[in-house]
Amino acid sequence: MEVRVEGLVKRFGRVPALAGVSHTFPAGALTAVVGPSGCGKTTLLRVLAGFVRPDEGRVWMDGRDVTDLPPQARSCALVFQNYALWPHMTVFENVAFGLRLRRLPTREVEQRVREALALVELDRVPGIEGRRPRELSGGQQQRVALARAIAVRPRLLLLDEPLSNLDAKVRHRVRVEIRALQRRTGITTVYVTHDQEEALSIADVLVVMEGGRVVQWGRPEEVYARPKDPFVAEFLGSTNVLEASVGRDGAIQPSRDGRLLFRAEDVVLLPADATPPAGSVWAKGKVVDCLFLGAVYRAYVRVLDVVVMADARSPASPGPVVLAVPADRVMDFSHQNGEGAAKETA
Amino acid sequence: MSRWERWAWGLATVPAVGVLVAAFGLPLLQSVGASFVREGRFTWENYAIVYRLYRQDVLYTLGVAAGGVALTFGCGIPLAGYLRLRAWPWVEFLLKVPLFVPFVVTGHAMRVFLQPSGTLAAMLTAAGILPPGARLGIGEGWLGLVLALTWKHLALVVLLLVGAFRGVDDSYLEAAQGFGAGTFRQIWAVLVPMSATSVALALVLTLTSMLASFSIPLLMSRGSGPQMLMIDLYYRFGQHGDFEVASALGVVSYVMASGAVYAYLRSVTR
Repeated sequence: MEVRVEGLVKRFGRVPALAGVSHTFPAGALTAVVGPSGCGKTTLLRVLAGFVRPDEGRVWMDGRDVTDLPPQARSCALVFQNYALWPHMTVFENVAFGLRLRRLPTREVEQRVREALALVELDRVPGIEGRRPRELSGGQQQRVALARAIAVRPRLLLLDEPLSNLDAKVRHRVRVEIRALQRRTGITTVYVTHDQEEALSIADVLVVMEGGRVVQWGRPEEVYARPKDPFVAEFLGSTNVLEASVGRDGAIQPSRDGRLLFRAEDVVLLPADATPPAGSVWAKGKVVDCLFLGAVYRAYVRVLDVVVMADARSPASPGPVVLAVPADRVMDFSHQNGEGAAKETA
Repeated sequence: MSRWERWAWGLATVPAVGVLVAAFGLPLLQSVGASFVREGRFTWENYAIVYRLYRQDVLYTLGVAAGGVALTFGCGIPLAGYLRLRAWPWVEFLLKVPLFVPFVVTGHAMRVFLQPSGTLAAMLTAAGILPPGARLGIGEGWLGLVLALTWKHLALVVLLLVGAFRGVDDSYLEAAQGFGAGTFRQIWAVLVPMSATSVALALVLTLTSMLASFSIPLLMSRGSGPQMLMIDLYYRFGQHGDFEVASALGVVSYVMASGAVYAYLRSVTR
């Protein structure tokens, strides 16, 4: 089901949670909506679900205007951040709730509950159907919430930060499972998260929001590699920001009007007396600290009175260095107020 | 916690425990003891008198209290549910009004309203539902008492239930609503079970309060037929000076209220 929103505005008091959101969520795709807290992503999800009525704008599902329809008439299911599993009901009763409201025959309810539990791979846990939510782990609760949502065979699945209550290891595993489930079922899915890594890894389409607006959308690789906006560039990845411009020889020099952004993984640290490679943008700096992050070491380098991050396979010793970044990896947002794509410095 | 702190905290509880023992524990023990004594000897005779003279009143009291609780919760749960799901400040304010009306005033008002030729009868006559001069019997019987006790207790019950229902996170209700649950289903399938402890507590408080109601039944009673047990107790003690049988009636009241408390404790510890 294709979902289209146009000109969505929602204010809570004087605060605009949505300030004119227009976007099309493609049918059968998993769209991740990412942005900082308060950017309006959960409000957008709740407007799609029908729990919040927009002050302005319309919502279309498969070309049908559903703006004024209640949640139950939209053929969508929402998985809540806290899962919202009813604690007094068993797993079976939770998953069967929506089916029973549809007055399906008992045998069909049982069959569809089992199918839903199998889809989230809970069918292998003995006696899971009779357990109450408090008797389940966080990961199991998350899967029951998913099973409850897909049991009613929605055409639109909405997920509101579904992994935020899980520890890192379980989060990674469940993320892969959600992706696989979405591919298997082909349900149009909108996945809201504030975790950029989660969004990048899970999405077919990435939507970045800020201040109640969609600032950029596209394939995750595209948005990451070619941010159109300094906010997107800063928000995605470990991004350094310098008020500087690039000289003729590639040297980074302070500039009040200049704004250069580059990511920590693109930085190369060279000895202080080394010549920067051709085609790179560079500056002299001083390593002030270095942390081991597991997969890489992150060095903190003071450049132009600003501390920037540089990721490396080996630890960097404190002291003077030359910091070099391939010119095509530097995003130049000089003289720009958030409009248009970054200019490559090469 | 150090030993000194334990002693200090122990000492701090002494006044409260002292008041509890002096004002409740000792009189309770005294009345239980007195209920088994007549003319200085141990006997079951007081209970035999209670059985012979008051067994109908015990059943009547239980029936009125049960009916009152059923009506109060039958009205209170939907009202509290609606107030939780849709904020109606004026309705909420109006529902709290009976909290500030004393029992005696409630009894008098309900007597005036429900008596055979009272306000309700006049309204029904004016509306053509009752023929002119007909008498309305509600106020004199158990139904009038149930209505009066419900009116008085509804505000407290709604207050307790709305508070409990507001403790249920919106997401649980929205999850149900998203699947197509209407208001009634959200109240009965989500709000009530998720607030079961508070509902049980409100139920016990209401039942014990209705079992012990005195001024409303006294003002509404017609002086014949079955009476609420507290009125019997008052007359037995105040009019007849029969402390022993009054004590036995008191013990029967304790047992009735204890049954509700036991059921509540079972429900919250299960």
